[in-house]
Formats: sequence, C-alpha cells, structure tokens
Amino acid sequence: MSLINNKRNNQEKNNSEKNDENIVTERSPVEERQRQRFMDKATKVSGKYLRRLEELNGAPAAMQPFFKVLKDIYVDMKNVEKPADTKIVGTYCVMVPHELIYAVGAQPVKLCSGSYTAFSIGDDLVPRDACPLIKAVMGFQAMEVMPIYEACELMVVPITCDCKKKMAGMLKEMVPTYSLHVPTSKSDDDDMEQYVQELYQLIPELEKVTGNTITYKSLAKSIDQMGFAQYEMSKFNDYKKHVPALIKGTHAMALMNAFSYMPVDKWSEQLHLLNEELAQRKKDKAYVSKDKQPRIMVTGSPIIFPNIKIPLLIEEMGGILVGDETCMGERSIYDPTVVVDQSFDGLMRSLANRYTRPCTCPTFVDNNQRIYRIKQMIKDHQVQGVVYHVLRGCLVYDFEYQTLEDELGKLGVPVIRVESDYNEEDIEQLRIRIEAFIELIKLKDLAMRPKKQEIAGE
Amino acid sequence: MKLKKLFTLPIIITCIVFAVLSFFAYNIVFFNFSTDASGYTMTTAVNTQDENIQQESIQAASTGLSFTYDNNQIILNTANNQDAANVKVYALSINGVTEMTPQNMAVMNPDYLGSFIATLPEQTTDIDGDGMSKTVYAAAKTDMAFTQGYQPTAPTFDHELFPLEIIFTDRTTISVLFNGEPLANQTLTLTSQRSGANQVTTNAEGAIEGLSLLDIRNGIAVTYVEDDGNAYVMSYQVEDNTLLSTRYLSALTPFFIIIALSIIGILLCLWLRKRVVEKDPVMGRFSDERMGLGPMGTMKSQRKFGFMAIRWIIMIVSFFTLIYGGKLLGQWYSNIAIPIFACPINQDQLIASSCYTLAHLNLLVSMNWQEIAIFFGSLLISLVVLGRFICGFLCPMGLIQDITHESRQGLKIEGLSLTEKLYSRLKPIKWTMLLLFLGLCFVGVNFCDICPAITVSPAFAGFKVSVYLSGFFMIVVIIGSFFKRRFFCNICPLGYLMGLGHKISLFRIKKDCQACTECGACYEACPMGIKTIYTEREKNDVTTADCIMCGECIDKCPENKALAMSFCGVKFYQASRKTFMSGHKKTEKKLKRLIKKRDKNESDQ
Repeated sequence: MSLINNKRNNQEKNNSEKNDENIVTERSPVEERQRQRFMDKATKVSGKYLRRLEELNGAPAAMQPFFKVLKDIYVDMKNVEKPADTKIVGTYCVMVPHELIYAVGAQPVKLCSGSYTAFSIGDDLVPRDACPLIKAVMGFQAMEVMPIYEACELMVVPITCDCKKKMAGMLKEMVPTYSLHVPTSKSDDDDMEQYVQELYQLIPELEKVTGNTITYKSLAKSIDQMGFAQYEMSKFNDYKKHVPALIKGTHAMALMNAFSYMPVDKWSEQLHLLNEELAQRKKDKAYVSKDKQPRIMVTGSPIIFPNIKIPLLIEEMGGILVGDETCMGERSIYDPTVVVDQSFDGLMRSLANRYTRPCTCPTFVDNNQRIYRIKQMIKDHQVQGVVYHVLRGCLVYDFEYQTLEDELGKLGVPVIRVESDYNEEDIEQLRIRIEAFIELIKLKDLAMRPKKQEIAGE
Repeated sequence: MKLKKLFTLPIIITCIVFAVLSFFAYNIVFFNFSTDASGYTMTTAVNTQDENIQQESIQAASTGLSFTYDNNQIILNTANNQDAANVKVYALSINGVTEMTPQNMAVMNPDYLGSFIATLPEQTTDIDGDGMSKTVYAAAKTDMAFTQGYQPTAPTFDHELFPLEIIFTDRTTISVLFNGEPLANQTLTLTSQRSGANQVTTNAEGAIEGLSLLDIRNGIAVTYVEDDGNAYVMSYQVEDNTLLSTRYLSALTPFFIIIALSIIGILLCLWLRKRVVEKDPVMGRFSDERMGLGPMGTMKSQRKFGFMAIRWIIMIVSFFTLIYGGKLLGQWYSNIAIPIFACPINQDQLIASSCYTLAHLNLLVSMNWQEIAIFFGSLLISLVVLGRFICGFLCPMGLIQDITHESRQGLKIEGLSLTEKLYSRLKPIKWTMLLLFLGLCFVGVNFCDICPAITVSPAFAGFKVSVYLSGFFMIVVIIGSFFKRRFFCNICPLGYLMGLGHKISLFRIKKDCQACTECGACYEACPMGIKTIYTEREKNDVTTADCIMCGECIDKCPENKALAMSFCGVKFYQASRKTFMSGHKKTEKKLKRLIKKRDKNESDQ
C-alpha cells in the first residue's frame, strides 16, 4: 500500500502546480468524519440490497460464494480475494482483454460502479449530465476508501463513450491510467487491425505493473482459463433457457457482477458447482418460477451492484428475469475467443477480434447486430417483454431505443423504456411502471392463450 | 471508380508479368527430364531353359521374345542363343525407323523417340498345340514412359517391318493394327503376364476392350493366326514405374528441389520480416514470440477431433486414390473428368481431370461429339453435385497447401493476414489466370507449363515429367501457402471457373442471420477471405464464388446453428457452441476430480 501511496504522491507532486489542495496528505478531522459517514452510508445501502438479493427466494446454495464476494467488496470494504503478491489492474467496460492481464500475472477487476453513495459524491466532481456510473467511479476515487480502487496498480480505460473518455482524463490526474483506444466502428477490416496494434501497445504497460513478460505460454494459458469460464457460462446459459426458470435472473446478474471481483479460476469453479445444482434442480423439477410468470429480459445501460433495483423490482413484482443483455451481465463474457491461427500474433488477433467485432456496445458507429442479438435472445429464452434500461445521461443507449422499439414492435414483443438514476427516489415510480408492464404481459398472454390452444388443438 | 480501385499499378504489373512469363513458359526450364532414349542402354539376354523362368514368363514360352525394364536398362529377352543372334532391333527415331547396331544399343542415340521393336526371322513351330506346324512371325514392342500421355498419336512403326502391331494409346486403349489397318472384329489370343492366355475379340476400331491396367503394365502378348496358317506374335511392354525404386526417386527429384528451395525461401522471408519487425517500436519486442522462437506452449482447450479431422481423412484418401488409384485398382475411368488440379499427366490416376481439356480447348475440334458430350456432361455433373467441394475436400493441391499451413501452425510462426481490400485486389489476377488457363492453347502455348499441379501428382506417381515455369510457380505457391492459407486457391483458375457456376451447385453454406453475433470468427478462419459470411443479414444462403466448402467457418462458429453446410437442402454439419467448446470438457473433468478430492479432505478433517 505504501508503494501506491508514494506513487500517487509523486504524481500529485507533479500536478501540484495545478492543484495545491492535493498536496495535503494528512486529513483534517472534518474530512475524516466525512469519510466515515460516507463509508457507513455506502455499506448500509449495499448491505440492504444484498439482503434483498438473498431474501429473494430461490437462490441456489451454490450462489452463496458469489454473495459473499459482493459482501466482502461492498459491505466489509475488503480488497478482492487474491494470492498475496498479485497485482491488481482495474478495467472498465468490456473491451479490455482480461486474458492479457492474467497473462502478465496480474488480476483484473472491473471498476464500473453502481454505488449510490459514491454517486452523490461524484455529483459535485463531474458535470450534471454525466452518467451516474462515472459519478460513482469518481466518487469512490475521490473518497479513497474503497480498497479495490486504492489497490489498483493501473487502470485501463477503454475510450468508448464520451463520459468514459473524460473519465480517463480525470483518472489520469489521480492514478496511473492507460487509455485504450477502441475503434469507433467495426465494419472495416482496418478497425480490427488497429485494435490489434492497440493491444500490442497495451502489453508493455501491463508488464510494467508486474514485471512479468507476456509469453506465448502465459497468453495461451490465460485464454484457456477464460475459455473455461466461458464454457461454464454457456452451460449456465443453457439452464437459463429452461422454461419454467431454474434460477432467478437477479441472482444470475449478481453472479455476473461477482465475476468482476473474482479470479477467473475461482469464478468458473463456483459456476461449475452452481451448474451442477441447476442440473439437479432440472432433474427434480424444482423450478423458481411458475408456468405463467411473464418472462422478461433486460437490456440497455449496465446494471451494477448495488444498483440492482430494476431486476429486483421485476422479480418482486412477479416477473421472471430470463435474459440479460447488458455489459455488466452476460455480454462481458458471452463471446468466446476463437483462436484461428496458432501463432502469437494469431492469439493477439483472436483477442482483438473477440473484444471488438461481436461487442454490442452502442458506442460503435454501426451496431445493428445488437438488435439481432436481442431478437435471438428473445427466441432462445422465450422472452415476453423487454425492459430497456437507460441510465440518466447514458445517451448512446438512448439512441438505440427507437430502432429496437420498431423492430420488436414487428415481433409483437412489448418494450418499456425505464430511465433511472443512482438513487432511491425514483423507486416507487419504477415500481408502478414495471408492475403495469408485467400486468400488461400477463393480460396479453391471457388473451393469446385461447388462440395458442386453438393452434395446438388443430 | 470501382474499377480504378481494383486495377492498381502493382496488380496490373503482376498480371502483365505473369502473362508474359506464361507465354515463354516453355523456355524457362526448371527441371528437364530427357524425352529421348539417351541414358538408357539396351542389352540382349538369353533366358536359359530354366523351368521356373519359363513358367514365370508366359511370353517367353510362346514367342521367346520380350522386352523388360530394369531401371535404365532395357532388356531384350530371347529364348535361346540362336534367337539372340538373329534378332533385329529397330527404333523409332526422328529420322524414321532405324535399325539399331550394337553400338547404339549400348549408347542410345538421342534421336530415338522411345519406341523399339524387335523381330525374329520366321520359324515353324506348333504354337497352339493342335499338332499342326505353323509359320510363326515373332516380334516384341516396347514404349518408354515418356512416350505415354497426351500424345496426339501413339508411336507407330512401319508395317513393312512387321505386319502385326500393338498400339497403346492415351493410357487407355490397346489396339491392334495389321498391315497398317485396324484389325477389326477378329479373335486373338491375348497372353498376359498376370492372368494367362485368353481369347479376345477386337471391336470395330481394332481395340481390345476390358483390359486391366495392371495386365498391360506387366506385359502382354497378342497372337494372331491368319486364315492361311501364318501366325503372328507380338509381345508388348510399356515402361512401368515401380514405386520406391531409384527410378521413382529420380522422378520425385524436381519435387524435392521445389521443397528445398521453398524452405530456403521461407527462411529468407522469416529473416527479412524479423529484421523489419525488430525495428518497429511496438512490435519489436515480440519479434521472437511472433517467430515462434519463444518458449512454446499449446492451446489445451482446442478441439482435437471433429469435422476438420474428417476433412483431413477425406483429403488424404482422395490424394492417394487420385494419384495411385489406377495403379492400385487396375482400372481407370478416363471418360469421367472432374474439374480438379490432380494433374492428368499422371497416368495412374483413377479418373481424368477436366483441366487438361480445358487448357487445350483447341483439341475439342479433333474430338468426336460423344467425347465432347461426355466431357461437358461430366463437367456439369461434377459442378452440380460437387461444385467447389472438390477444392476443399478432394484436391491434392489443396492438401499440399494445407500441410504447409499446418506446419506453420505447428511451429507457431506468424502468418500473413490479408484484409478485405487485398482480397478484392486479387480479382484481376484471378481473371488473368482464368484467361491464361483457357486461352493459352490458342496462341500455341500451354497452361500445363505454368500449372503448379504438374509438379505434384505425376512426380508422386513416378512419372518423369519435365518441369518448366511451373516449378518456379510451385515454389511461390508453397511459400505463399505457408504464410497465407490456401494461397493458390485464391487465384486458382479452375476453382474460380467452377465458382462462377456456384449457383447450381448442391453444396451450400447456410446461415441463420439472426443467430449470428457478427463475431467475425468465420471471416478470420476463412482461407478465401469471404467477408459476406459474417456481414450477411438478409439471405440465408451465403455461398459465394470463392467458397471452397472447407467448413472452416462452421468449425469456428460459436453460435448454435448460425452456420451450416448443406447438401440438397439437408444440413449435415451445423455450428454449435457445445461442439465448439468441447475442448474444455477435459478441464471440467479435472475440476470435478479436484473438487471431489477437496471435499474428501475436508470431511476427513
């Protein structure tokens, strides 16, 4: 820890001409109290949501380790579980290849945050219209209380949306940050080629963190590790497709959130146990939903613990969350790395390919594939309604709502656009809207049922 | 505007240089085998009255005269010393038929065209055992290997030397001439080394039908008894190529030279690239790693056995049947010609290749309409039934290229990835190749002198075929396919010709546009660089002219049922995430064992 502090102090000294306040390393009692208050509040909110998560019935026993990880990080304010001398590299978005970070012997932690308390701090640091995710991240960064932020040796910020871009700039003032340039479009071959170059440039930065060099062997090993996690994930996905549901979607989301804070080996091991439990449930016909429960899918802006009010509301209001097309959820790990060429460059290309081409992030210029992806998920998971989540200020997702609404209108799948912020003020309003939406689906289903039976009868 | 983009200066220069080179292809000699008899010697041997030899060689028993080959030695077998003294040997040479003296039997005249005939003075013996003595005229004929192949006319002697003559045409038919005329509808005795004596009847063209290739290769003799009691016996031997002999190895020499030069070329390319990469500020650090020189590791989770393994098996089987099929089965189907670059100059192939006729379209004039109909019929049928499936699964050139590609994969050496732009630039080259392929015969040149396939198939079968520009081209092809998978297929004129008719082919690549996540794995895997396979969102048929049906895209597709290969609308191979990830099953088993062990330990404590 002292090393990091020294590092930061050095950096702060460099910036001292700009900002004199930063030189002060000793905190005043007022500040100390403020920090304590902040921590109390943050842990209280996280604890509350974790409790609601655990109280939501139907959680498999194998979910407990994932809950524990969330508890460790957000309630007990611990660092991520890791071998003693492993360095931590913070990442944002889904475009940073975790494989490269594992290959240098470091551990990636996804730092995109959902904390309401940190959001309120960050509100003062960034413009009002910036998205709450950025505000929460900046809030944590400013308070210097979260171990996962503090322990980061390097932050890798992909330049995706405007907010992330400016955030990278702001983070650079405080911590060692590397901004990873992500191509803005995917249709041209050159875009991918460019990303291969970007990844090659990222490697030396990562190597500086641990002092280990990336070799063919270490990279191949980490691709295998991630591949195994994806293998377990795809099995988990198959269970998620089951009707009636075997696991609640909110729990699945918590699981995906836990992925950000766990070593991939541990995570895939736990997921393996969970898969075995789900297989048992399938055998025993121990379902968590009833036949008629509306099957809902969430897409749009990331849903990050503890901001899980929307999935919680959906499932508390009687829906069952089956699909999750958000970047903190399934998308972050869904697409496998397809190694086509066995050379080192081949591995790098396959990584660049996997982190750009199939990525349905709306920051890409051409992102029609997201609609196809959602349509396919609707088909696979037999989704009856789509909740389109938009964080306030998250423009890129808002842009894509119109097309999606048109496309799903053709399919006859109802969509609801839900805008939310990182606070609990809008919770009642959201509850009413989501409840109405679920009732609508139920009524629609009721109206359709005789027709379906007719068809089946014929 | 689009055309302007397509025809950039380097492409035009490449096309022109290639066209000019191909015009003088015959003058650019890579490796020349002598196409005359020089280097060979002829000796006369007397078979002693040893019973064993007599029984082994039926020909020797009946006529006492036959040719056999022993590497570069042609042996004229005679029954006794008297025959050996009386035998007269004639050779077909540039100056007509010349009688051979002992001097030029020892050192053959380069004028000789490789066909020899030996005659004995008339004898009176009872050859068919009916108690009547007949006047027997005995002769032996031989053709050396280089006389065989696609010759417009088979080597024929003057009938005044000997009235009966066996003619072996086009590696398919044995026909019999008598006094210069086809011996039509006559009953002959055919004695073959392998299957003994048989009565056969010639057809209207004087050809003997239903002969096995193996019989012919082992030596046959024909006995014709004229109505007036004169009997004519002629034995015939074509120079055979035995596998794994010194002669066979000498036939493979140009191929080995090509391999050696290609390896040197590849090493040179690697060295050059290393020098360039080392200077790069970003990549320089990885120059060793990219060369595959760093400590090697393996991708453990890669699927080992799957559809691709089946493809490899089919490819290897097809390689051997196409090259050695005729030799192994003793039968070939020269009428059936499929469009494949298995060089038909190899005369042991199971089936002919249309490429010869397509590259010699001027020969169509000399063919009769039935032959033309069969040719186009089989071309059309193979286009419909197989299409470019041939390229991906059957073509020997494809196997050679895949082997070089796999060797790079094994060595973990970085390849060359072409982009969409570069692929589109290949189009003019493809058309130039097609134009040369079909058109060179009309300007008196021959695509076979450029074609790289000529260095593979005949050499492996043991045929000494001289190599011209094709040898150099093959080096380029091997180096190219080492760095870029299926390099030649991208410019192959025959494949492209077939690809142009892909719309009527029954093999298709199907896509479920909704299931596709546009991950681009198929595009990365595609050796032909077909981008539409992953960008397509409308049509569910993504077969294009370039697609060689290798199935690589489906193998690499992680989405359930997103891509499939179909035949007649039946999807027989579909992409699936489960099979894609099946390599991880091993890891899962390991994990299960680990968990079990840990649980046990915990319960013990």
